[in-house]
Amino acid sequence: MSGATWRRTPVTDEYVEGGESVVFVAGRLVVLSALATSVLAHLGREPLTADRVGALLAEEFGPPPGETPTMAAATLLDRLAAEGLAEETP
Amino acid sequence: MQPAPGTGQVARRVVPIDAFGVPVTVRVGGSRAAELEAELARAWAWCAGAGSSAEPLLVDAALDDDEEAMAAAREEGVLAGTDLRAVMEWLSSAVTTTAITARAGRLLMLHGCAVADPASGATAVLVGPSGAGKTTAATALGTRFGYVTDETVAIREDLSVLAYPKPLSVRRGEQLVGKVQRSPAELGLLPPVAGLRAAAVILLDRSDTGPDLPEVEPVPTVQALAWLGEQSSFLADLPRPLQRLAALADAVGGVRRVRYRESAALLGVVETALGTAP
Repeated sequence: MSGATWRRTPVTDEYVEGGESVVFVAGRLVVLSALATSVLAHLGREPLTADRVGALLAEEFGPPPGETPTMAAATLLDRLAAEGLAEETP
Repeated sequence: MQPAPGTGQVARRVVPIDAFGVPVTVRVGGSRAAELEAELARAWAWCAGAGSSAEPLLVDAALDDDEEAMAAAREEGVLAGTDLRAVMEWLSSAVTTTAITARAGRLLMLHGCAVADPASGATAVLVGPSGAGKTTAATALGTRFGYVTDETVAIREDLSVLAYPKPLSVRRGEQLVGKVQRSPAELGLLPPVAGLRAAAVILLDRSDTGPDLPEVEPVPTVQALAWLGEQSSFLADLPRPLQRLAALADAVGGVRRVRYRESAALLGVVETALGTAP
């Protein structure tokens, strides 16, 4: 796993309730799970590595089944990046 | 006022329309302008007027038997044709689009129909995409409640609703193509009262295999906002658009979804939502 750090990208608006959220980004509405919502919240505070994101999620939600926290975090970060919600810092 | 382009030698006429407060003037030309003007005045009677005092937005239309002339007019942006019903259908979309564009960033505009309690102005907003049965629902509900609109529900930040009782586009008999614009009065609908205010938001989920009795369920706010957002016009132009939608959802006590088959079954749903059940 590289030591790349990730950060949030700007969005038009977002609404969080009950841990889940809906985000308005680039003219699209994206509904996010509690895990993804948490990732964005953490990235909103500071850029983080996948290792760190994984550790924070494991602390909050428990260890992911069948994979390491870092692997789970990397998958989530990739999905958020595909939705235009996160990016690796240059 | 400049003449409508491409409308030939016949005197031009104007029909002022109030589309949820947006003044839209339809300029009518062509050798059958009088016929089109009369049809517009009849179908749009409940939207007649100048709207606000602002300079009206213009929509040009023409009706003429000369197809070549009408084709030339269309090249110039005129809603021109030889078929009255077709021109009326185009105009319905054009007036709505013009008004929506004019209010981008100011009003929350949902793809939906709306009806209101004639006594209180409490308004039920029924949201759905094209084909969800908005016009059918408005027609079914509008004889019990005041007809507010069948297409675009315009809501101010204070949750007041702007009436847009436009003609209803209904199919011509058994024909599969083409719609005719029926005035709400012609369909026996009740006019909207003053002081409309959003009191219920219901997502329409109609299908031919839907339940006999309508099934109503609350929609979690996050999902509701995503759904409503998809059925909004110019959402991105509003400041904090999701907060705006959330405020609406909160004010009406949460968004509900109704699964149903026949629009007549919606009557009880709306009566319950507005607290007007007998």
